[in-house]
Amino acid sequence: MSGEVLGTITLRVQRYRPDVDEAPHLVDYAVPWGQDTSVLDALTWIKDHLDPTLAFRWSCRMAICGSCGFVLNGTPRLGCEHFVRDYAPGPLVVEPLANLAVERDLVVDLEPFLASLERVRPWLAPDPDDPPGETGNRQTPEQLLAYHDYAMCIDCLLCYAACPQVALAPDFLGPAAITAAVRYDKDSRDHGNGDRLPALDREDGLWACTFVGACSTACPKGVDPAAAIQQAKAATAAAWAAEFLLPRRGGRS
Amino acid sequence: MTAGEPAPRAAADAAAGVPAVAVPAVAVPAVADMAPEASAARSARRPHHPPVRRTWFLATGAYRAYALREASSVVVGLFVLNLVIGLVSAHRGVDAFTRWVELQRSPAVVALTVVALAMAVVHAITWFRATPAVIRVRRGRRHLDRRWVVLAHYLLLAAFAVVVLLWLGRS
Repeated sequence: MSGEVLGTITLRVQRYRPDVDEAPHLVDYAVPWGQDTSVLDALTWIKDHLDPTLAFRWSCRMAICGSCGFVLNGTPRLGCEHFVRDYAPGPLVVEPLANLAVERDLVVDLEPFLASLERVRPWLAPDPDDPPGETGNRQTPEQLLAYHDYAMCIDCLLCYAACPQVALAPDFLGPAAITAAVRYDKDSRDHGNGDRLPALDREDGLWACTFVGACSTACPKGVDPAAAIQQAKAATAAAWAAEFLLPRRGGRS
Repeated sequence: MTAGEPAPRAAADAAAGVPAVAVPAVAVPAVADMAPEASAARSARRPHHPPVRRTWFLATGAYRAYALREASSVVVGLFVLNLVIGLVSAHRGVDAFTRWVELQRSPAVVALTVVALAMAVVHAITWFRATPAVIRVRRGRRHLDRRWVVLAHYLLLAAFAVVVLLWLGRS
C-alpha cells in the first residue's frame, strides 16, 4: 500500500466455496487503508496478506473493463472507483452482484447475461440491398448522438444487480442486453431492427421491465439503460402496430 | 507422444551435444476420459441462487419510492371507482344519487378523497419526472436538457388546470 495508513477497517466479505461451504456466509477481515485505497485494493490486500483463497474478478482498475462489480453496503458499485475512506469507520459489507448465481466468493455466473446479449444480435447489420462496400459507412455527429450514450456500456452488470425484475422475471433480457439492442437499432449504419425485434418483443424480453429506474441509478458510465428500454418499448409498440395494420409479406417468425 | 519413445528432437539434441533431460512419463488422458459426461461428474460447480424476498420492494429507498409510485395508481383507481358508483347511482335515480352524495360526506370517503389527491400528486410528479426517458429532443449535437421536458409538462398541467377551473367557475 502506498501512502500513509490512516486506519483499519473491517471488510465483511461474502465467502462461498461450493466444495467446502453449505451456503454463502460473511467473513470479517481487518484491512489497513490510506487516502487512495480503493475497495478493490482492499480486497487485493486481503488476498495478499490474509486469505489467498478469496476469489474476485478485476482487471483495469479504472472503471472501463467492467470486471469488478460488487454490492458495497447494499449498493451495486465498481470496486475500483470507490474508496475505503468513504466507508470508514465501517464495517464495509462486500457481496457479489445481486440477482445472479454465485459461483464462488464474489464471482457470479455471467452465462445467462451473455446468452441474453447474444439473443439481441449486438452487431452492425449491413443493408442487404446496399452494403457499405469500399466507401464504408458515413455518419454525422448528429447521427452519432442518437446512440452514443448507449454505446458507453461496459457490461459491468451493476444494472442487473440493481434491477428487481432480473430476480423476479425468468429469462428477462435485462438492462444491458436491451440497451445493446437499442444502441444498434438507433445506429444509422445498422439495418437489423427487424431481426432484433423477436427477442425484444416478448413478455420476458423487454416487456418485463416496469421502469423501476434503479438500473440507470447504478450505472457507472451514464448509459441510462432505463431510458433505452422505454424508448425500445415505444419503438416496439409502434412496430407491432405497423405489423398489425400493414403486415410485411412473410411477417416475422 | 507416448513415454519411452525418443522424440526426433532428442536425437538431434544429442548429436549437437545438448544434455539430455530425463522427461518423466506423462499419462495423456484418453479421449474417452475427456467426454462431457466424465468432466461433468468431476465438476465442483454448485452455483448458489440467491433467494428473492417477497418484500424486496422495502429493501432500499429507491425500491420503496417505486412501490409508492405503483401503489398510487391503485388509490387513484379506488377514487375513480367511487366516481363510477356515483354515475351508476345517478342513472338509477334521484334517491340513489342523493344517497351517494351523502356517502361522500362520510369520514371514510373524505379520507379516500384526501389520500387520492395526495396519490394523484405523487403520480403526476413521478410521471413527469419519467417523461425525459422517452421524450429525447435532439438539438444538433446535444440533447435538450431533461428539465425543459419536465417543465413543459408542468406548464401544460397548469394551463389545463386554469381552463378547467375557469369553466367550473362559470357554470
